[in-house]
Amino acid sequence: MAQILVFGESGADGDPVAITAELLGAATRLNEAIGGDGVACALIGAELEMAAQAAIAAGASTVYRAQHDALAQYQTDSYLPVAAAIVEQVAPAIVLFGQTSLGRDLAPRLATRLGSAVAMDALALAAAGDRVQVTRSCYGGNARQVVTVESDPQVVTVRAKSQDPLPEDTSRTGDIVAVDAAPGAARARVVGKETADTSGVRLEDATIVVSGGRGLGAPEAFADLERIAADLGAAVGASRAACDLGWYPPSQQVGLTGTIVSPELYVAIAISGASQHMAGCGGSKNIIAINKDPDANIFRYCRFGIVDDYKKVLPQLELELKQLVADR
Amino acid sequence: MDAIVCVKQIPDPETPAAAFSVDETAMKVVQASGVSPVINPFDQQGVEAALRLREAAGGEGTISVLSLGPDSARDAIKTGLAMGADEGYQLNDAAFEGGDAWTTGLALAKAIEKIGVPEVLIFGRQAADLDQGTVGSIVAELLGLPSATVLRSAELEDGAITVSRVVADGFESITTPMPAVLTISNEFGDPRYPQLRQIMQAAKKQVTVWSPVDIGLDAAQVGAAGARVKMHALFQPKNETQCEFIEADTAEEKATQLAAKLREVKLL
Amino acid sequence: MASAGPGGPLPIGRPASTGRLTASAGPGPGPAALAPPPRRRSRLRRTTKIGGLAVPVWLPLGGLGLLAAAETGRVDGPHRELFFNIANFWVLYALLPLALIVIAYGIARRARVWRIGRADFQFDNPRVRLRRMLRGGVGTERVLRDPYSGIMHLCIMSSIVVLFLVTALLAIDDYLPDDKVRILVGDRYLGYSLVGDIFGLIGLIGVGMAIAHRWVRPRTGWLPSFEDKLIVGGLGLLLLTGFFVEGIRIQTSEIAANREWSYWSPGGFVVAEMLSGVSTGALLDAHKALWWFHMVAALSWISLLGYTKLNHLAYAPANAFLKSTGSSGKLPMIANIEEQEHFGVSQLEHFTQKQLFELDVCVRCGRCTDNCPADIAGQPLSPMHIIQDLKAYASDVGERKAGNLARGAPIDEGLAGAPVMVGEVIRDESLWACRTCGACVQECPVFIEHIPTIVDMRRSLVMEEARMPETVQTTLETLERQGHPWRGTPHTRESWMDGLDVPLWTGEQEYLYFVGCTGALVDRVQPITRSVVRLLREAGVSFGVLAGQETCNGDPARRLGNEYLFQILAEGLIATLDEGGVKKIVTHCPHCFNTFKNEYPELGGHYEVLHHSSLLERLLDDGKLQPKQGGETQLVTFHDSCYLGRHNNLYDAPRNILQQIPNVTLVEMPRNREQGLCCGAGGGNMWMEEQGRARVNEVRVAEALSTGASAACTACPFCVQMFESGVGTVQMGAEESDRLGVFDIVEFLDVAVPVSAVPAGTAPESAAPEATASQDED
Ligand SMILES: Cc1cc2nc3c(=O)[nH]c(=O)nc-3n(C[C@H](O)[C@H](O)[C@H](O)COP(=O)(O)OP(=O)(O)OC[C@H]3O[C@@H](n4cnc5c(N)ncnc54)[C@H](O)[C@@H]3O)c2cc1C
Ligand code: SF4
Ligand code: SF4
Repeated sequence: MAQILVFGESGADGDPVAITAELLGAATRLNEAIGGDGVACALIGAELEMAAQAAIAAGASTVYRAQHDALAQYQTDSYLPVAAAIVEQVAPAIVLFGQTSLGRDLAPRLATRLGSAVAMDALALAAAGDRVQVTRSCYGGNARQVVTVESDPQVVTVRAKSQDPLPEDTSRTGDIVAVDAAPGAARARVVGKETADTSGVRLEDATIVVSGGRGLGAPEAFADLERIAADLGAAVGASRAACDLGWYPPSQQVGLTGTIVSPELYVAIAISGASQHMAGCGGSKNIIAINKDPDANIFRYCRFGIVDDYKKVLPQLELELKQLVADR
Repeated sequence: MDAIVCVKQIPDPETPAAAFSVDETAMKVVQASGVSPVINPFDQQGVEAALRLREAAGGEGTISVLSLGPDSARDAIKTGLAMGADEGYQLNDAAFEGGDAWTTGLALAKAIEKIGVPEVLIFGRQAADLDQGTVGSIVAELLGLPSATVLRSAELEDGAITVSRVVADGFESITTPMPAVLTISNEFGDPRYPQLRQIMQAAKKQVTVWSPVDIGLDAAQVGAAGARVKMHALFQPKNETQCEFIEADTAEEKATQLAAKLREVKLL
Repeated sequence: MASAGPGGPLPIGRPASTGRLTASAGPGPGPAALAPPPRRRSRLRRTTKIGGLAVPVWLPLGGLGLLAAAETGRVDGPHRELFFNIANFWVLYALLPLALIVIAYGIARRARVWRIGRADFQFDNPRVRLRRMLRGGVGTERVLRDPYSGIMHLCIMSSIVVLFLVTALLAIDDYLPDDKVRILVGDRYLGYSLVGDIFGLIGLIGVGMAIAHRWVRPRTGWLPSFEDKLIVGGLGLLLLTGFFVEGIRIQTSEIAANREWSYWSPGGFVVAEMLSGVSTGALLDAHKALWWFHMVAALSWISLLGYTKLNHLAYAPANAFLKSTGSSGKLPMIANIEEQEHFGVSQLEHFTQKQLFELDVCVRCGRCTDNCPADIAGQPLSPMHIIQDLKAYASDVGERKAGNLARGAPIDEGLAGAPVMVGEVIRDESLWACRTCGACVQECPVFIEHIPTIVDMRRSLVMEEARMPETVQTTLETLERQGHPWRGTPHTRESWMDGLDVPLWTGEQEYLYFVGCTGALVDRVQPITRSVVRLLREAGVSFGVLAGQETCNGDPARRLGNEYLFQILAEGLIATLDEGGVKKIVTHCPHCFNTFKNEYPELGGHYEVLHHSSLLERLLDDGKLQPKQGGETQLVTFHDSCYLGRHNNLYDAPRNILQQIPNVTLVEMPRNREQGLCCGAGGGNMWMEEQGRARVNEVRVAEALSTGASAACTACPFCVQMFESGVGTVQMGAEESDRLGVFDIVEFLDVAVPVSAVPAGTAPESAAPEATASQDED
C-alpha cells in the first residue's frame, strides 16, 4: 500500500495554517486504518521553511517542498504541473487537499490530469478496504452522501475544521525533500488582491450573519453587533422593525421584503421571529437566538437558544467568541 | 464574443427543509410535490455573466447553452434561452445516466469541441444539488484551457479577460487570455428576469440533442459505466429540530456555555 | 435590473444598488418623527386646452355678439315678449349652431385621441349599465356621498338643467300660434316665472358654495385649475346677468302695470326695485347690451363642454354606462396571450378606447386620491394624478399620434424625444404602490376604473420590460418554481396539519376547503386554518382539503402584473379541481375567494365559492355552531378586507358572526365597510417594501386603536399579518396586556364554540386568541 499525500498550505509569510495539521491528522488515522506506507506532505510556495517544520510536527513523515519565487501566490497554471510532478514522484494511493480556495480550484484539475477523480468537501473519512469512504454534505446541507473514488489516486478535499489535528509534537522528525519542479507557464496572471474588510461581506454571501431586532431597544446596540460580526467575519443584518426605526440601513433588512440569507450560522438577537422575518433566514443551516421571551417564535427554528436579556449576555459572549476565533 | 454556458437542472434548492426527503434505497431525492426542478442558480448566474459580457463587448456573438440531463433538463436550457441565449444543446441519452462529474465533464468537453470552442466557457461555481464544483475545472483540463473559478465579476479588455475571484480573505484579480473557463459565484449578482416575449420565443426554439455517439464517445465512457466516483449511500442527517435552550444561573454563564456548544458542534 | 451600464470600461458584475425600491438609506428618525412625504406633485406639464379655446370660441362669438349689440341699438320697433327690447334676434339663432359646431369640434378633436386605442367596448348586462347611468350618471348618487359637495353640485346641476328647460320652453312657446295653445300665459306663466327664478337662485347658491369650497373645506386631493374658475365664475356671471336682464325688463315694463306679476319673479323683482331710480332710456340701452352679453356668454359657456371638464355633463353618464359590470376585484383578462404583440400597456395606443375616454372624463375632484391608502400614508401614488398625467400625455403625445395616423404615417413618427409613458410620465413606484383596493374606483363620481389602467401598466413593466422591485421578482420566481409566493417558508403544505385529523379531498365531500398558500405556509396563519378545520368538523360539514395537491390559484401573479403566469397557474389548478370533481369551494382567504369567484369563470373554472364567513354565519344561524358565554366582555373592532368588502360586497357576514359571540361587543372604526381603509397588503404589496411617509398598516392600526377596542378582527390572512406587524410598531414599548390583539374572526369563534364530542382523532384545537397573541409581541 502506498502513501497518503497531503497537500498542505502556508500563510502569506510562510507560516503554517491550521488546515495542514487537520489534513495530516486525518491522513495519519486513515493510514493506520488502511495499513498504508505513511503520510507525506506536499508544500508549494515561495517561503516554506516554517510550514515544513510544522507539517512534520503535525505528523508528516516526509515533506515534499516545491519552493520557487514564482510560486509565491497560488495560480492554477503555475501550481498544477508542480503538484502533478510531486504526485508522480510520491505515487500515493490517496491525495488529500483542504476544501479551501486552493483545494477547490486545484484538486479537480489535478485529479483529471492524473486520470482520476475527486470527492469534494469531505466531512468524514473512513477506510473501506483500500478505498476512502467519504461522507460529504450535499443538497445545501439537507442530505449526506457517502462516496468512494474508484480510480487512482483517490483525490479528496476535506472541509476545514472537520478533522482534528494530532497533538503538535515538535520532537517528531521527518525528511524534507526539495522538489525541483519548474512552475508552469502562467497563462492567467494574478494582477491584484483585495482584502475584504468584514463590512464588505454581502449579507447574502456571508457564512455567518448576526442580526438585531427591535428588542435591542436602541441603535447603539448595533455597534456591539458590528464588533462581534467583525470578529467572526460575519455580516450584520436587522429585522424590518429595526430598520424602520432607523437603527440600521434598510439594505441590511433580512426577510420577505428584504434580503434572503442562508448562512451556516444565523444569530438572531432580540428578534421575535415573525414569519416575514423567518422567510429571510429560515434557510440558515443553524440559527441561534437570544431573546428574553421564552415563547418567541424564533425559538421554533433555533438550534440553540438563550432566554435572557441580551444586554447581559452579549458582553460575555463577545469575549468568548473572540477567544474561539483566536484559537482557530 | 461567443460563449457556451453549461447548465444543470437540479431539484429546487429553495425547497424548504421540511419538504425535502430522500429515497435511501434508490439513493435519490424525492421531488417535493408542487416544486419543479430548476436551473442550477449558479448556472443561471453563468448565463447572466455571458449576457453581460456580450453586452459589454458590443452585443455581437452567439451564446449557447449546453446541458447534460434527461428530457426535463430542456427546461433549464429554455431558461437560459429565455434570458437571452441563442442556441440550446442537450446531451440526452439513457447512456448518460448515472454518471459523475468526470463523465459529465468528458461529455461536455466533447460537445464543446463539436460546437467549437468559443472565447468564453462558463459554468456555475457548483451545482447546488451535489455541491461539488468540479465540472468546470475538469472541462478546462480536458480542453487544456486556463480557468478561473468562483468569480464575482468579469471584464473584457483587449482580447483578455480580467476577473475577480472570491478567495478566503478577499478577492483576487486575475487576467487570462481567451479562450478561458470561468466559474461564476453568487456574488456576481442576480440573473435577469426574462421578458415574456423572450420566454415565448425560447419555447419555440429548437434544442439540438446529442447522444454519446454524436459527440464521439462510446456508451461505456459515459454514465454509470464510465463513472469514477461511486455513491454508496444518500441519507438525511438527523435534524435537531428542537431548540436546545442553554440553561445556567447567570446570563454570563449562558454566554460561556453557548460558545462551548458552538465549538463542540464545530460551528465555530 | 441586471444589465450593465452602457459604454465605459465594461464593468461586469453586481450593480452597486441592491435594486430595492426603498431608497431611504441610513438611520433616520423613528416613526414618531417621520419625515415629511416626498412631494409627488412635480408632474408633467399639465396642458389644459384653455388657450386653444380662446381662438375657436371666444373670438367669433364675442365678435358676433358685439355686432349684434350695435345693430340692435338702432332698432326701435314693436317687440315680442321673448325678445323684449331686442331686435335682430335672429343673430342668436345663427349663433346657436355655431356653438354646437364649436362643441362638436372640441369633442371630435379628443375623439381622435380616444380612437388610437383598442376598440374593446363591453355592453354586457345593459340593464345594469342603464340603471347605473341613471342613478349614478344622471342622479349623481356618488357625488351626494359627500354632503357639502353633493349639495353644491346638485344646486348647480339642477339650476343648469331647469334653466335650460325654462329657456327652451320659452323659445318654443314663443312660436306657438295663439294664446289658446300657448303654455306660458296666466297662472302658468307666473308659476314658470317663479320656478325659473328659484332655480336661478339655487344656482347662485351652488356657485357661492363652490367658491366657498375653496376656502371653507377644500378636498385634500382636489386639483384646482383655471378651468374650475372659468366654469364656476362663468356660470355665476350668467346667472347674475340673467337676473339683471330680468330685473330691467320688470322695471321697465312690468312693475308699473302689473306689480303683483313681478312678485312671481323674486330675483328679478329685487333687481328691479334696486333700479327704480334709473331712467328708462338708460335701462333699455343697458338691457340690450346685457341681454346680448348674457346670450353670447351662455353660448360660450356651453361651448366649454367640448374643451373643459364641463364635458362631464355628458361624459359622466356615458362612462357610467361603459364601466364594466363585474366585480371591481376582477382584472381584465388578456385573451390568447401567446399571440399578443405587446403585453399590458406601455403606449397610449395599447389602452382601450374606453380607458382613453376616461382620461377626459375625470373632473379632478380628488375623491379617489382622498381615499387611496397609498396617498393617505404619504406614498408616491395618487390615482387622480395617474389619470391626469395620462390625460396630459394624451393631449400632447396622443394628439400627435392621432395626427400621424390621420396622415397615414407611422404612429410614432416624430415622437422620438417624447417622454416615456411608463417610467417617466407614470413612475414605476406609483404603479407598484397600488393596493388594488378599489377605493378609488368606488369613490369616483364619474365611474373611472383606475385599477385596470394601473395594472395594465404594471403588466408591461413585468412582462415587457421585466422591470420590477427585487422582491417582486423573487415572489414571481417562487410562484413559478414552487407554486406559492412565500419564498423562504420553512413549511410544506402539510405542516399545518400536524396533530390534527384533517379529511383529505376524496371527491365525495360537499366542500373543498381551499387552504391557500398563506393558510398553509405562514406561521401566523396556520392557527387560522386549524380553527377553520376544527369548526367545520364541529358543525359536521362535509369537506376535504387538497393538502399537497394544492397550488397557488395565481392571484398574486395577476396582481403583480404577470398575467401569463397567472393563466398558467390558474389553468393548472382548474385541471386539478375538475379532475377531483370539485363543485363547491370554501376559502378563508378573500383573495382566493375573489379569484375563484370572479376570475376563474372566464378561464373555464366554474365553482360555487363561499368565504368562510358566509359558511360560518350559516352554520351559526342553523344552530350547528353554538358559541357559549365565556370570559369578560371584549370590545372588538372589525376591519374589512378589500377583497371581501369592496370587491365582493361581503360586509355583514363577518360582523354577524362576531355579534353572535356572547362576550364580544362590536365597535366600528371611523372608516368602515365601504369606506374601510386597506391594510396595505393588497395588489401584491405583501411582497414589497413601501416607500413614503408611513406604512399603510400602521395608519390602519392607529385607527383601530382609536376605537378603544382591545382586539381587531378581520377575515383575511393578509390583513392579520399586516395588523400584527403594525401593532408592533404603533404600540412599541406598550405592555403586552395593552396591546391590540389581532385575530381572524374564526379564531374568536373557535374559542367561543366549546369542543363537543369530537370525532375521533381530532385534537381539541383551541387556537385561543390569548395563545396566538404572543406571536409578534414583546
Ligand atoms: C408585508 C410585510 C413584510 C414584512 N417584511 C419583513 C422583512 O422582510 N423582514 C422583517 O424582519 N420583518 C418584516 N415584516 C415585519 C414583521 O412582521 C415583524 O413586524 C418584524 O420582523 C418584527 O421585528 P422584530 O422581531 O425586531 O421586533 P419585535 O417583533 O418587536 O420583537 C422584538 C423581540 O425582542 C425581544 N426583546 C425585547 N427586549 C429584549 C431584551 N432586552 N433582550 C432580549 N430580547 C428582547 C422581545 O421578546 C421580542 O421577541 C414584514 C411585515 C409585513 C406585514
Ligand atoms: S386601488 Fe386603492 S391603492 Fe390603488 S390607486 Fe385605487 S385607492 Fe389607491
Ligand atoms: S378619477 Fe374620478 S375620483 Fe379621481 S379625480 Fe378624477 S373624477 Fe375624481
